[in-house]
Amino acid sequence: MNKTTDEADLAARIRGMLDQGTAEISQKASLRLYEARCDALRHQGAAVAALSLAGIGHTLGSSFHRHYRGILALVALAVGAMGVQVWQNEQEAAALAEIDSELLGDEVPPSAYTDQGFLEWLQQISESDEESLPE
Amino acid sequence: MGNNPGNGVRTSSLASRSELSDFLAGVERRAFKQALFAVRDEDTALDIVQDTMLKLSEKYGGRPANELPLLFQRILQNTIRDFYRRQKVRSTWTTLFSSFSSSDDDDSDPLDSLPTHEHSPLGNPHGSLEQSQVVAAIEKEIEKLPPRQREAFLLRYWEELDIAETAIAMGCSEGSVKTHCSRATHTLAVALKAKGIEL
Repeated sequence: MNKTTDEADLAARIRGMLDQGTAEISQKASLRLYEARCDALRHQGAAVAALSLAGIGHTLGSSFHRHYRGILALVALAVGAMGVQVWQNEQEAAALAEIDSELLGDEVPPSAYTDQGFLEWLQQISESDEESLPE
Repeated sequence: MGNNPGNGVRTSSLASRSELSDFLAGVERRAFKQALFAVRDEDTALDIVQDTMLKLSEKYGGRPANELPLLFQRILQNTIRDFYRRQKVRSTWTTLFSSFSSSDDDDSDPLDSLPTHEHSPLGNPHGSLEQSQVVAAIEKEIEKLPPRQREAFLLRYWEELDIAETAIAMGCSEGSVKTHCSRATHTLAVALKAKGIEL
């Protein structure tokens, strides 16, 4: 008999003895092992749930890939419309600011332009100026 | 795994709840003993087995049933190694305060650790007692083996993993597995012979 066979033979006999030893563990240990097994089985669902959530993510992802051209076109259109709106607002604000600055820079106070008498006088002055102009 | 009945058929179907339950029920006592040989404390050994079961179920519960034995053993050995690491850190502190502790634990009689029989063994009571003594003596000698030798011996010959699977579970080469197994078997043979135990 060679060395390997001797080793396997002795190991097989020891295995038999160790198996006998497992039958003699305490009732307390047996109960805790049973509880641990039940607890572990309850947690098997956690992995399955995680896989399900991953499946939902995969479905959403694949739906995006199928329709991404249309989605990108809609996004570009929305961004363009918003850009035009912002540009128009800026133009109006700039025009108003220019009028305001001209009014404030004039010698006549801005409140005079709301006075009806001042406006009539201003009109008369401009008409007389036109009449006095040489032909 | 290995020569275990039913493991010769390699299927790729995922483990059902009942398959996982059957697997755990079949392996839990041996796993407890393995952990007990390593840590020599029943509560700690039970904690290790509980952690192992939980990790297997949470992370690998959806894997094919034929992969469970190797995965379980890898997790079990890693959990035992984690215990050793924690113990090593703890011992550096405890040795500072426990220099007066007795060191005669290794000289204790193996018969002191004989389990209590809760069920009457069948057959001749005298013969059963002798058998239990032999089992206790063998378990004591396995406890005394260096950790890597014990790990290799138990995975290879008790869990019946083949050499490649044992190497994967231990995270070492197949050559190392053969060396550890050979040394462990030789040590056990010498120790049992010295005790007058013939198997």
